[in-house]
Amino acid sequence: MERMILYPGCLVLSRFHEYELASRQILSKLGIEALDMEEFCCCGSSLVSGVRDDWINLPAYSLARAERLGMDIITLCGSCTNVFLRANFYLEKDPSLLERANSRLERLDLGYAGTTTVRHIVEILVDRVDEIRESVVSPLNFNVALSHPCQIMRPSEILPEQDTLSFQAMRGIVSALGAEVVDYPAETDCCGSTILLFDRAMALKVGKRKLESAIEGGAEMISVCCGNCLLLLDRYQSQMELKNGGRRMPLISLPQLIGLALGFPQDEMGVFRH
Amino acid sequence: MRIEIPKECDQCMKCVDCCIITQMDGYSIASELNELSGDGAWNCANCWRCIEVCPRAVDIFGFMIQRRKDEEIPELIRRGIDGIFRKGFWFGDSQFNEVRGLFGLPAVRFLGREKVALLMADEGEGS
Ligand code: SF4
Ligand code: SF4
Repeated sequence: MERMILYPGCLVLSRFHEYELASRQILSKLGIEALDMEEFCCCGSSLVSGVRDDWINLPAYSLARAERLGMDIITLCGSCTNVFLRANFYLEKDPSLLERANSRLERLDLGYAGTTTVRHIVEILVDRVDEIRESVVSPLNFNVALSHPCQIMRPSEILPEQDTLSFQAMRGIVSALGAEVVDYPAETDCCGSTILLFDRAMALKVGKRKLESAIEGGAEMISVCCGNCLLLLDRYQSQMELKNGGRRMPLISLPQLIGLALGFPQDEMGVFRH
Repeated sequence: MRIEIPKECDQCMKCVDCCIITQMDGYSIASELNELSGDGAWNCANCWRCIEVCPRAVDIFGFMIQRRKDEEIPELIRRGIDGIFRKGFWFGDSQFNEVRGLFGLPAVRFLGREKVALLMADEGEGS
């Protein structure tokens, strides 16, 4: 079994238990043993742009922990992924920054050489899409719209060179489950969730536009693969007054959706808790 | 206060056109670059679409960082920072591990206050 460190991030660890549970089960089904961070620390994603200059020490800590074990990190959230990729990018570009981060890590008996690979779970899944396709026991016969974890794909300057991710990744996986992937105009728009930190009304407007665009496109449900998308589009949906004949638009994380098609019991996939 | 626009920027509005916030009639950092508002420093989803569309490779990220330093940190971010310094966790949830246990998820151990303090810059250096 391949071993990797699972880094769900603060938001998923505390708010999206079904998503985390399903991720662990699908990874295990694919032969990946997901180990936990021994002592978890926030990735610092909300401190990056102008909040604290020492933000990089936070991701450097988790990267160093994984490096010591010689394992990749798997993330479940676009924001965590983005900050880890950004940290690796800056630390590689600027040796003095790496030196400064290491002077802090040393205090915790750690050090970082810059070798940890960080992969969002979509990337792990798309690499194994054939195996997923072959394991489908109940093909999904509904129309699914996708909200992509956009922060794992932008900005391109911080992405690793042989990056395989694109907005096609989730499409390939969901199609392999038998579902019809719906096209809709707002598909590649950011869901807007992180705006919640500054302007809730604006976040709701952005989320509503995305959901209504998916509804117009004929979606019966929306699949996501990011804690932030779940937060805004699911938990805040009731505040959006959607034009959908009074119905909620069901949201499901990609690992839960895979679990359904692979015949995992629905309660194990947390579907009814959602 | 005068906002200094990066010299590479020719105010072509491409970043404004692609931004989900300006599309919803709000002001974002893209609005500031185009001198439409001085109120957009924080309003951003970090989707970095503006960076992808900019034809002149303007350092929009760097501009945002500079602009935010002139402004107050929003309340919810302040609270998150407190959480990080408390134990290495953004939220202040009580019964966090008990709830995880109900879902059959493993308990989480956090880095803890002392170690976070060792990791981060000394008081006054960090921001
Ligand atoms: S897209 Fe680039 S050049 Fe055009 S206004 Fe925005 S920052 Fe300036
Ligand atoms: S990164 Fe922020 S300013 Fe740029 S397009 Fe996205 S929401 Fe707008």
